[in-house]
Amino acid sequence: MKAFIAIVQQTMRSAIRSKVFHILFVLILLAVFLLPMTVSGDGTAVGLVQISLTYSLGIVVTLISTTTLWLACSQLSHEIEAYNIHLVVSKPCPRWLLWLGKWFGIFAMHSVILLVSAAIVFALIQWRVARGNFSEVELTRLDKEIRVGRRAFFPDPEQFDTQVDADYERRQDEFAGQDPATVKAELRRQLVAKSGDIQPGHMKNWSFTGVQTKSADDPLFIRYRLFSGSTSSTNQQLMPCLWGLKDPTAAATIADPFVYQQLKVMGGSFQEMPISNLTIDKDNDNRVVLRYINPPVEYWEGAEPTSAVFQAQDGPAILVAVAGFAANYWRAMVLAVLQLAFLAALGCTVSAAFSTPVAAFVAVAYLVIGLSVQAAITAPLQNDDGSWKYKGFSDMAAHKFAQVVGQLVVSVDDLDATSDLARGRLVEGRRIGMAFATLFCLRTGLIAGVGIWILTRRELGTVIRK
Amino acid sequence: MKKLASSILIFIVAFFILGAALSAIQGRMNAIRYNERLTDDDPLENAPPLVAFTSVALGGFRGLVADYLWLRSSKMQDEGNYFEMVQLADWIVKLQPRFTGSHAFLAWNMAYNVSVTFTSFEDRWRWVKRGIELIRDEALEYNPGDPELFRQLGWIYQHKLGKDLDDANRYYKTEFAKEMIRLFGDFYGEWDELIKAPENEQKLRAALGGKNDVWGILASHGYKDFADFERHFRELAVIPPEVAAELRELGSERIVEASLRRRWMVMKYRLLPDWLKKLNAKYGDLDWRLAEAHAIYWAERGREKWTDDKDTFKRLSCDRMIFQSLAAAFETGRLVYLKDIQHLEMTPNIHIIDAVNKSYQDAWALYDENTIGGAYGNFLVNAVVTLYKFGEKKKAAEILALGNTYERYGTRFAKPLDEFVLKELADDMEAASYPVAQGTVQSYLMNAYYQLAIDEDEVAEGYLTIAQQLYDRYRKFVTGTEKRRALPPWKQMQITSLEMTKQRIPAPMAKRLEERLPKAGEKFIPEAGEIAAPVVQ
Repeated sequence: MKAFIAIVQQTMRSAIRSKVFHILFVLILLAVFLLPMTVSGDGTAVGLVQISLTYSLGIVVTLISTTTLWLACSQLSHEIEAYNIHLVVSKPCPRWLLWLGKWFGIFAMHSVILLVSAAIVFALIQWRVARGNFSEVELTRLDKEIRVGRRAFFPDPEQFDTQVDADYERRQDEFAGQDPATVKAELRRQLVAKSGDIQPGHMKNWSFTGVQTKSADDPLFIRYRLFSGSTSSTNQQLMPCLWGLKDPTAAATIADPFVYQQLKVMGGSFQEMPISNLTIDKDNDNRVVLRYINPPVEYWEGAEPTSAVFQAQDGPAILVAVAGFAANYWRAMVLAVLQLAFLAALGCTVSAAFSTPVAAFVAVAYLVIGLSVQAAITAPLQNDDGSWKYKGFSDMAAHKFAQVVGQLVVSVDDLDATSDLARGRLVEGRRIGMAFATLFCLRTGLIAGVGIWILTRRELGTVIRK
Repeated sequence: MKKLASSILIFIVAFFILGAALSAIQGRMNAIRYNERLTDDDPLENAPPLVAFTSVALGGFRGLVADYLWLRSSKMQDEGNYFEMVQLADWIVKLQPRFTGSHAFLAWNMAYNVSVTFTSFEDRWRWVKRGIELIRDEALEYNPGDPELFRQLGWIYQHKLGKDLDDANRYYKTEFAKEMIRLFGDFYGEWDELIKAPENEQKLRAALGGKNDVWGILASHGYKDFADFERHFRELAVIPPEVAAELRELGSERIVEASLRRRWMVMKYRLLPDWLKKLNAKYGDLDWRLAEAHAIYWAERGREKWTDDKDTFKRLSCDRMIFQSLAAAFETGRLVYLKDIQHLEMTPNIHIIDAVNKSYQDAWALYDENTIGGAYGNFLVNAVVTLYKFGEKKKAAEILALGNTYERYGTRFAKPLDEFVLKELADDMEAASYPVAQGTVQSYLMNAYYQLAIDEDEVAEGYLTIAQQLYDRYRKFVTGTEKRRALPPWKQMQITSLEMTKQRIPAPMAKRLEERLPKAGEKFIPEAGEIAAPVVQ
């Protein structure tokens, strides 16, 4: 333990002496203190908090991540090249402890810097809002929509299999001689595609179960995006729409127990609509039933009626406040700390194998691959049922390859929760747990194992002094 | 250590020598650059230090940074993250202060594309304003004489605020009018006083004379300086009553307020009082609380700059904006502000008929018949009908006769006045935009009240019946589009028309009209309608 602490202390001292660290640290100070004071949003309290979070916090995390990676890449390799490492390895200190000490020193130092910076950014944002001379209405909106952790509830899955079986049974004569599995798969695909496509004069219901609010006066928010005509059409237009919510207190004898709200929304844009929490049916699994009506032609004010297309990933989802802003903020910071742990491990591993410039190049290449793979995974167009639209075999093969690489490589994007914070979305404990288990323990652990193995196997005495 | 100190010393000395030399020749270099047409743009002026620094320090790379910000802005818009767009647009303008095409696009994008993604009218108006502000407060700051920016700004006023294509257009008009009412205060129409008002603190001091202790009064009320007082004035839109009372005693209230309002108009809204006066003299009494007048203002300023032959098309677009806005101002260019019920209503401004007519005729002479003829014909028809409806039968007949002199229109205007108007009215109500329908119903109601004031009860009853019939007919026609095109509630229209009638007739007659009105204590709050779901599958 004494050796471990000594290595950690020496790593920190050496890191603080680095010129690159000095420059980046000045930039971090500017990002922490200056950025929140200079960026301006759209003039609303909501915009101010959103842009402060996105810019200040985003840039602070990026800069600290950069210093972490750089110092991790340079520490071990520099000591190997300068023969300083001989002083350590000649002592009764195993190499795995040496690697862990280096990793922990860099990780701990940057985690502290990150948490202090995050605390300052948090305080500055709150201070700017308090001094912003915003109206009560704006502050209420801010607290309900952004300074909060809202959990997203998604609709209960639709029972496509039952419908497919029923359809297959009904049209069995039509499919005589064909493989039932293939026919059913095609029927399912058609059904899924059709389920998000609501023609004028038609409607669709979604049912959400288990919806609970923290307090009695918390509103629910419906978030959705619909497209006019088609998801790939660039000519999106304003569409009339009717949203209905089932009134759980309505008597069973009422033919239409829905309360409607008429809106006009722009196709292709995300929308959020507050609704009362009285729509939760507490006697029926805390259920909320939502209805969308694509109105018939007379509602279109002379415009050509088009179908309303919903993609599964665009909702509708119900957002419910379950945590406060501070709690959500620090959850996001936990993910950022995990990101630092990963970057420190990556840097120490490549540093054990290569010289500083090569180590930095390899580490950056790894991160670029991680980011590119995410882009490659989402690059192909999607059908309305969510399946991928390939142009040919090579397209499909490349996409599958990207998916496999995506499973192996850690993408720092997965650990970035700033955009969730800026939207008031809850950083779920499950997400943190999964990040800890799969990204930190499994993949970062694997990288750490490789780094320790390399350092153990490496012949440190073969470096010839020029 | 000595070596380091001497290096630093040499560096500092060299820095100052080179800086001094550069500042001595910079003016000459700029002159050569301008005279020899070495670049397309003039040297950047009016830029704050940050913009001047980024323009020089980043050199050619600022284009790359601006490109990246542009791409990010597009991505943010696709994802619905609009909160960053104002900041990104601001940075893009600062990085590329002379690329006015991009400024105009960013402003248009905010005013048109981003605004309509919001369902709340308040949110929409905020984005329309951001679009206006980007051109007016940022782009024009660095390009004060760019006519393209004037034209784009005018277009937002004319089209986005003036037309009824957006569901929220009435909200925009009302909010804009409120903003202008705050800006002008009691100085609306006092253009000469505003023109003469001191344009800065020094001139105000000079105008007040050495003995006047305005600054002492401001200090006694806790204002740090004149700028602090001005900030507070713009928040309140009036001089705080306790300060106003003391300034009044000193005899300085009027000149101080005139100076503050002038500075607000020029510095924030870029409205030059002498231009307002000039345009009023040219076109008649434009209502500067309405968007149409502002569209005319910016189009006039743009047109003035486009003088070369190659600019004919751009000049034409400004001319079009002017006569279209004038025609719109003729139809709805007068604001009726009922302070006690906080109601704003736009009504026809029939006094500018000659100016509108002249602007069309000037454009006809300047361009060709095919460019202007169609729009002019439509204007003449509207003018005849509107003048007739508002009791200006003589002027209506004059315009009808004028229309008949143009070969292009054949027999379109060759009808007796009554017959012509009745036919057009019937067609109008079938396909009327709401301002036209509103004007029509108002005119009949006003006629009804006028007849009531002069004891012609039966005639009044007749006008009232026609107004009610036209109102009902239009209401049926716009079923399903009420949100965008519905007229105000019937009772509200009665009140407004009554107030307008009272303003137009002599005071004793107005009093008499009031006495003759049936008393009824109705409330004029629109009833909330319930939305019934349509029958669907």
